[in-house]
Amino acid sequence: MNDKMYIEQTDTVFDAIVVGSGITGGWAAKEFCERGLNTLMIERGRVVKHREDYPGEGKGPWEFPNRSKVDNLLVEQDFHQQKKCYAFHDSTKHFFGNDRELPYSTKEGTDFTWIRANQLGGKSLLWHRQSYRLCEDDFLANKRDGVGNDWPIRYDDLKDEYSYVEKFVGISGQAEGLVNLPDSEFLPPFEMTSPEKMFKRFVDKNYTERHVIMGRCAHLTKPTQLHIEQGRVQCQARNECQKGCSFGAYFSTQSSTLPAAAKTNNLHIAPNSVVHSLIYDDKTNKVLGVKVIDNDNLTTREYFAKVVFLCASTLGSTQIMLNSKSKKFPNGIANSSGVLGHYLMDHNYNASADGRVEGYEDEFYQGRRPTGCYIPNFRYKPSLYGEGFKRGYAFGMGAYRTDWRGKGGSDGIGADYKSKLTEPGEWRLGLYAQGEMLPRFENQVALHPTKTDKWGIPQLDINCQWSDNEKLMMEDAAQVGADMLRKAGVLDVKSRTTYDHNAPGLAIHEVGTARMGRDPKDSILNGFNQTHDIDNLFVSDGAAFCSSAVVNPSLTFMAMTVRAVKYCVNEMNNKRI
Amino acid sequence: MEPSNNELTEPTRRDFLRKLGLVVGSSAAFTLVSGVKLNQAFAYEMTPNSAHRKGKTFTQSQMATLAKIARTVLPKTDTPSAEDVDCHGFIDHQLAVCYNKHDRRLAIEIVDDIESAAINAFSTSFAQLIDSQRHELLTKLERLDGFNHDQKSKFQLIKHLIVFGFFTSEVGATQALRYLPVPGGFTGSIPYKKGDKAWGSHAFY
Ligand SMILES: Cc1cc2nc3c(=O)[nH]c(=O)nc-3n(C[C@H](O)[C@H](O)[C@H](O)COP(=O)(O)OP(=O)(O)OC[C@H]3O[C@@H](n4cnc5c(N)ncnc54)[C@H](O)[C@@H]3O)c2cc1C
Repeated sequence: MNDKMYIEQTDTVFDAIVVGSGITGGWAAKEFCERGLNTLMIERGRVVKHREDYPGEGKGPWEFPNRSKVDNLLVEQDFHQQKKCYAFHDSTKHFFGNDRELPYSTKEGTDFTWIRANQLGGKSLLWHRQSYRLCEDDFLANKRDGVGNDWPIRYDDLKDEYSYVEKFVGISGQAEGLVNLPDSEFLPPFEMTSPEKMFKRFVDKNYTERHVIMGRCAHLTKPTQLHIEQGRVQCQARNECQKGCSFGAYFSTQSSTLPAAAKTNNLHIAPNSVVHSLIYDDKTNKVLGVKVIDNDNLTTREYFAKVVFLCASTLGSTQIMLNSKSKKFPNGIANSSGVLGHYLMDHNYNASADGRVEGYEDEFYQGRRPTGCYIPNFRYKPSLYGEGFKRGYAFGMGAYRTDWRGKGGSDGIGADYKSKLTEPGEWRLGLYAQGEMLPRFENQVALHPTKTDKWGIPQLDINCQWSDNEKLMMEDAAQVGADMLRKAGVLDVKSRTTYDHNAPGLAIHEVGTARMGRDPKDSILNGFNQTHDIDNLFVSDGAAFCSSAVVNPSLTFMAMTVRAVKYCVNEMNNKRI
Repeated sequence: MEPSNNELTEPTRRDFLRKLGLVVGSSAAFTLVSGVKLNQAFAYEMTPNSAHRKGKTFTQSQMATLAKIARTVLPKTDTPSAEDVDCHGFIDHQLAVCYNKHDRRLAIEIVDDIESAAINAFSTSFAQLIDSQRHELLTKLERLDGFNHDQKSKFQLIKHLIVFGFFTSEVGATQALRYLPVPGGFTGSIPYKKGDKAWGSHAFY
């Protein structure tokens, strides 16, 4: 990668503009570049260079000023929302958005935790790498239940793109042949511990719809030629991924799509360029480019292209669209349907159950596995739904031995206590529900009528709440989880739900707000992520989702994006765009 | 930018951080936030004589008491004690920058309570007691013998910090535990026998 790639002022009319450099934008840029299009990636944040800009990586806790805890006043001043994310630490905080600079509001009586990563690479640096395909039933769910609108695409439409991105990204996992969780193209799976294997044997034997599998994650357990060419090497099981990984062992924009795009010499990047709005020409009904405000000095500039792909994250893309107003589109660009901003969803991670396991005291594990185990959604069609709620949930599962970290408050003084703390303690095994959230018109983002941020862009005003469906589902998950654990012989099982104090957003799987659909009257995008209203404007991130499904969504953003770019380039070649 | 004086008072830190926040330029802000300046300004540094100096949270005599509390909870064995790795200095710092006023007050109160209890029981300060007397006193505290629940929970705050401070120190993480920064892979089952150490290397603490 050379520094000439970074640009600021230019008159060039690019073939394609990609707004955002996260998981989605990285893929869009790579696909355009590899098809020979002159591509400009626009990123609001600073440049983060692979390997060079990972200041928290590979340090012992004693090397941090507060032993890896974050200064409380800094948290209060700059990170009062971001701190709620489990991955927010002293070693990672520089990859999180600054809440003081990036304010948003929530409707009274509601709350939404909006976790952001505004730099080159976006949240691809911070994500947990869990990667699962949606299944056929996920695409049918809205239609079957009469909730939300029908997805205009089906599993088969994405199947080839899933395979294509998986081979490039590198997904570790085990083929299982399940209908509710289609297999990916796999690198070898991580190993289970013995209590996990015990639990797997129990579940596989006693339930027809439930299966315990190894988590599928974007880690190179055994790199292929394709990964070596990207400059990536095998995962070292440090599980410190969010600090940045110089091995390039997990998928990020920096480790994977960016080097591939740069290799083509078709990639240009405009960092520190906050997209304010899209430039729209009502005579031709085309988007001409984007209006940008400089992240640092707040001056304005413009970039132009034949097509624009919005990949600024679900809410980022929708914010740009809402703020792009014209005579034709007074309520946001490509919003003739009026549904822009509506049907916001997240996942519901608000039930868990865990307990103690006896009998494996002569075993331990070595290394830090960057994934847990997984029980795919076993309520994936109406006949399997629980009492009083629609849709279902998956469980994350894992076993570990406790250590000193949980024992600071336990009784004991002196040498015996010290020696006890240096040894691993009991085994524990837990289940963590990951539930689907229904698409509801009421769950919505809009531009705040008066409040703006420092770039003069109207703040998002978020109105999003769990409905009874989500609450009942979590009650079910807590009970079902605890029941399974007890029957498997786990001791002192406790379960809990947390939807009362965890607002939506915290699963960081926000989707919806510019949904796809067949009918331009009730959707923003067609099945190829192209806006119904303007043929050279595409949105290929999570905003396009019609339903949330239960699986981590990013793999689908990648597959959807590849499909959208392929379609777009074909349309351009055939002079339809 | 430097803090206006060496005192780590909350208003000083607040002011310093506010000014940091006003720095224009995303890369400059990154350097500042990612550590460099912040470290220099407020970093905890291990000092050999922190038990004899006024701290950021504690007075000089409270520091002396805290050092011996640390050493009593985690004494020298085949590895150094919590006092040897300056846990008291660490706690004093950590309370100042990562905890709130309320917690600081609780921590100060229990250190004072332990000192008073030593004077009541043995007519001498906690720091002057012999190890077995200190052990006895803190054991009584945990057993609520002459102490109440409130005091025990304050003590747990301190104890939590001693344990955290010790096992995140270089000695604690690498000598008292097994430290494997780059495991190279994950093995789901390795043999374990009583006495084998737990892992000191974690992704996050
Ligand atoms: C801690 C954590 C764990 C996660 N775990 C998982 C997981 O296990 N599996 C999974 O599938 N997903 C996971 N996610 C979610 C995942 O990171 C996101 O779904 C994914 O990164 C979204 O990709 P994106 O490119 O659409 O958005 P982002 O990665 O957020 O990138 C958007 C980019 O656009 C830029 N941008 C935004 N607005 C503008 C603007 N106006 N102008 C210019 N640029 C702009 C941003 O700065 C950013 O760089 C996790 C997220 C976090 C934070």
